[in-house]
Amino acid sequence: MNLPLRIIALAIMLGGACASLSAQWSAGFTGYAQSLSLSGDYPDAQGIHPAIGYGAGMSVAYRLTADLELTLEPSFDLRHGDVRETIRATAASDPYDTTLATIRVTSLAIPIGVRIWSHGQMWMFTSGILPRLWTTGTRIAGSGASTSLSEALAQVEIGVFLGVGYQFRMSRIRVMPELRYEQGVSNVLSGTPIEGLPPAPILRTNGFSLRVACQYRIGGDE
Amino acid sequence: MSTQRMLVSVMTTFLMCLGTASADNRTATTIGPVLGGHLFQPLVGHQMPFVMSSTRLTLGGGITSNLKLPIVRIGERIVLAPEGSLAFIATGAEHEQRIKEWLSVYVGVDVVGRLGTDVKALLSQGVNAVTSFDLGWKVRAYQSERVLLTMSLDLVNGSVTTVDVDRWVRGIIDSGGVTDANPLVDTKPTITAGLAAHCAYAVSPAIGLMATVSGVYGESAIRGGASQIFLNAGANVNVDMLPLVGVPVATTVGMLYRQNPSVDDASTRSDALVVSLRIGTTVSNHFSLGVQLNAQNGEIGNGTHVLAIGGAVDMRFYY
Repeated sequence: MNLPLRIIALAIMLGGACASLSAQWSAGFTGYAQSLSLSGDYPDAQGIHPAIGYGAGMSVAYRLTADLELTLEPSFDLRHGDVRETIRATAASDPYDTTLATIRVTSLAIPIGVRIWSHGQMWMFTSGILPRLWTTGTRIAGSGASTSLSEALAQVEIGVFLGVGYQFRMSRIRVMPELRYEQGVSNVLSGTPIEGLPPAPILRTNGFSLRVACQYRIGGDE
Repeated sequence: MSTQRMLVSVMTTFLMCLGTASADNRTATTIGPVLGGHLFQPLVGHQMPFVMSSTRLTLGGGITSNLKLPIVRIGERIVLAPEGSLAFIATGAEHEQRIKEWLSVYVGVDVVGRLGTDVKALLSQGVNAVTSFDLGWKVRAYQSERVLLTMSLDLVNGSVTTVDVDRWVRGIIDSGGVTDANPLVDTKPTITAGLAAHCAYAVSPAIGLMATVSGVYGESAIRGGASQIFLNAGANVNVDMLPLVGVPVATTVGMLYRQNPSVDDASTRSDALVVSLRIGTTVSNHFSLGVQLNAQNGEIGNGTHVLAIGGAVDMRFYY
């Protein structure tokens, strides 16, 4: 089963589970744009610079107390990065960067965390862990030639996130824009030796995403 | 009573009243690291146990004592006998934001850069700058009038730079040349996660004690090495002159024991001991400015211990 079908199947299961829930649950959708970089070991004079990626999926929350919620947001996640090389200065030119290729990495991201409300339940702070599953990657050279990176990438990645956002409420519907920082904890690479890199190379994800979640409170009381 | 004695009595009484009045204000405030009427002073390298909104700015530097690294031999011939000293500059910034009365989060960044060196040849190609990024959560576990206990969980994303001349030379001999798999200077990304417990005890409005103990789960400094658990512990005592003699100056002495991943063997640890002295101002519980001196004795590999002396100017803003 490919990645989009897996996401649809997971969304159907979560939707069915939410159908008979009380007012402590909220469910809806989330979408985001992200700028994530891969930091760590690079070949000499090269680096992976962040480009805009995006994601979308479900957003589910369970209220534990008036100020505390548990959240789960399984999403299709796409990360982009530009592989750039610094060309050294010559007698004729100054040093400059040139883009060698674009990296495209897709995965199923399942952020699991807590949402803490403050200042009259209008401002929110989020934090939690961010597993990414079924990671696949492609390297697209400047000439258009495409190379699979899936063997070089770890299938499962773990990270943590920290975010701040605000809530706009309209009856049972709430819209929550959020700015989130993510720090990868595990290695993006699977351990396969890569030419030009030191032994046991390490790359980790880190960066920001701007997200919007729209949720509907299910059940009786608000 | 002579006029002079009367004047001294009036001034002494005034200063004592000033000190007493300030201590009463500290008892009532919720701004800054105040407990039991004592305004605690921060020490760079020691996490404060208070859940509060604050910003830290630190600028410092230091120099090692004369380094004598192991001699590199090929057969009976001495190839290299590096010795000299290293100087470095360090800057850091951190912001902690209180979310609830019992919860805060903090983010920080520290940069250490090589300022200048007297070390010969190969070692001069070493570290230029190392950056680490810190992200953490702090939770208040217990608080009474004089005692505060908090727990923190943090994540540090940084790197370890090693310069192993002996391994590099042997690698050249084995492979017949310089290769990417055998760099002289290797900067390995590392990430550590730590769980810590912090305590503050206000002995009196003039004297305060702080202690911390943490367990850190971190990656090895050697590529391919297994991760390990490292232990850190520290304590400091702070004496505030304001409640005693009315002078808004505090002196803090602290000691910190730290375990780090060994650069020689992935299964062992290296130790470092840091002794610190800070003199700072206590004129306000919204702001702290101090000068700190550090002496650190630590292992840098091959059984070599180095003494590094440093200083820092540290500013804190409390909201």
